[in-house]
Amino acid sequence: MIVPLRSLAGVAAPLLRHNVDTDTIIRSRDISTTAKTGFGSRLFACWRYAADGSQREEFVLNRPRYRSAAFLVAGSNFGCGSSREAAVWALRDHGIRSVVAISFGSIFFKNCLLNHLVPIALGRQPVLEIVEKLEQPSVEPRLSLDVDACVLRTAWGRTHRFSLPECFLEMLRTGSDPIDATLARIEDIDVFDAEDRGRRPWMLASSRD
Amino acid sequence: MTQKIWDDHLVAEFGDGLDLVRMDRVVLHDRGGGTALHSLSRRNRRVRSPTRVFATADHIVDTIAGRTGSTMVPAGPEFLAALRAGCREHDITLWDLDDERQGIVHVISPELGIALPGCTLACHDSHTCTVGGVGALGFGMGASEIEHVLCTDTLVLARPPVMRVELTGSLPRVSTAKDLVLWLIGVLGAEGGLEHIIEFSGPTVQRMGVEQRLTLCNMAVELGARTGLVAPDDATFEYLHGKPWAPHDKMWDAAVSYWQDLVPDDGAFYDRSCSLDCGALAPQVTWGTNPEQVTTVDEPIPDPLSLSPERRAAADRALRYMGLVPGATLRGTPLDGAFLGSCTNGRLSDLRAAARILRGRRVARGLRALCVPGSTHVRRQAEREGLDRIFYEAGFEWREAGCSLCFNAGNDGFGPGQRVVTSTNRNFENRQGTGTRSHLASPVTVALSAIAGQITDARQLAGGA
Repeated sequence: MIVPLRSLAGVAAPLLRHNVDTDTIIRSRDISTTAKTGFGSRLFACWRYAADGSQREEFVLNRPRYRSAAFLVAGSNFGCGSSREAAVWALRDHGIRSVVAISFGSIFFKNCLLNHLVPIALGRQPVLEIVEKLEQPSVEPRLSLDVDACVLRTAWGRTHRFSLPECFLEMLRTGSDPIDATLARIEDIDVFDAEDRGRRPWMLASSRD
Repeated sequence: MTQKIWDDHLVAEFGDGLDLVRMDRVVLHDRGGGTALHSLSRRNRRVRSPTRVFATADHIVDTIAGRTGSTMVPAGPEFLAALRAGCREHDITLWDLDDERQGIVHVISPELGIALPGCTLACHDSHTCTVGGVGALGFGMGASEIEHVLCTDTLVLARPPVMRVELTGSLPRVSTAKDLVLWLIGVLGAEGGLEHIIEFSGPTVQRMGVEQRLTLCNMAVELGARTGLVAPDDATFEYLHGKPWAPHDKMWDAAVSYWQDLVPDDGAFYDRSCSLDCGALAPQVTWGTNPEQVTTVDEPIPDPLSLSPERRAAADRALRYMGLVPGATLRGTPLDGAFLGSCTNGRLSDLRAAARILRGRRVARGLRALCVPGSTHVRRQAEREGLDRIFYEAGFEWREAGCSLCFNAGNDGFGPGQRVVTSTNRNFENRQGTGTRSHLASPVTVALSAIAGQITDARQLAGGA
């Protein structure tokens, strides 16, 4: 289920909108399964499809130039709002493996990492510059990502560095599971529990009485 | 205060600026709770402390009177079945649709005493910040991260920066915590608290009742914050005393003496700080498709040209979607619907405030109005007080508890182009129904506007109307 990701190269689609919320990425009523996959066709449903279900040609992910996008390049506070992880699953199921944005909603950011979709917060100027290039017909709209070096490269020769905590980079590179990493610290948790029972006994005493 | 709570929950440093932080409580709901539990089972993992975990059904349940144990939400039965099976398998307390304790997770957590001052609480829902109103540190997250908490009782987190928002001045009589938080989001922006834990403090907050503080903290996520928090005080202790899951007797005394230390230290360091006077705060209503797009009902809707380029594009889009023009005022805008409820404003004090206005009056002809209590307990208590009759006689549907039309889960929504005044938290495009135009407001504004059939200035109440 977890696929390591050391590098990625592909088409990048620009979606420079402010405060794109997760309701817009996937509507509540389109979350139709308790599984973690199967949401790709519902990604941005209200923007991608007309009322009769046909595709809106003008929407960025429907345009032939960006149809096979592996990167989405977005504005600020991307993924704000609801914590629904299906927003990430829908992006991933559609083929997006990395979102580059000015900034992210914090729950969405973590949900990306846990699903091996790389969130890259680059700040305003670099993102505006990338989007401007991606929209120029003469430019090949492609980006490449090197997880080991924390570098994002553009088809037009620019290099952008980004940072992520080492444990998340390791997770991306190796496909390791964060629950296993924490379970390796289980003794620390046991020690904490024992001390906490003395410090805050009411947190236990109130349970199930 | 955040510092102290964090230190008391710090299990270990995880390296690279990350901490392993103990989560005291986990709350699960029907949208994703079953997914998380099933995912654990499939990998032969167990829930480390089932007695710390509580589950209920709220997101995709029917709220029409006479509901059954199933739901008309498309695919809803699969989600309910998954939650029930997961709770059975992992020995987790589930308050199902037929239980008196059922309700919206963020309404029942304080109401049952599951959320306590100085505790950490995790839930796979972004409005978990609500419990900051009783001084609990609530963390919203996705389903996969809740698996981590269920399995380890911890979260791996970078210690968030802390932002102090000090509020001074007495709120005018018709202005509520909802007006206050909408105004704050308008002033600070949807990213105004990005990544921060916001400590709300100052005389205005101290004077608020606990339910109003819950409303205030509920929308901290709409500022981009990790969570929001109010220092617990005597009002908090009085609110929690005797709640089923709050400590009793000697344990209560020990808990209170610990909780009394959870106050902001003099000279405490904050990464950011702001102080705002809300003594002249007028009722707020949103005009756009993000809570930051908000104004006073009698002020002109801003001209997108007056905004920064980014906000301009968003405002242009929002005005097109909302069918509004810059320069006009919201007051007098005709409405098709009114919604009262949600984790923001579905508590007893919200229903009482609306009922005071609705008593002996009727909603405008042709307007669809719903009242959906935030929990079964709220519903029962409202019925004991006769509020259900007032809503019913005013032309409101009186519903069973749940999230209901805060968002459209597929069975029940407002129609395309319909304009709704709503006591909920998100006016995002298509959230309450495809093409539905949502105006966020306080329960007072919702009730007054429902009667008038148009967006109404609650200050007319203060004028003796």
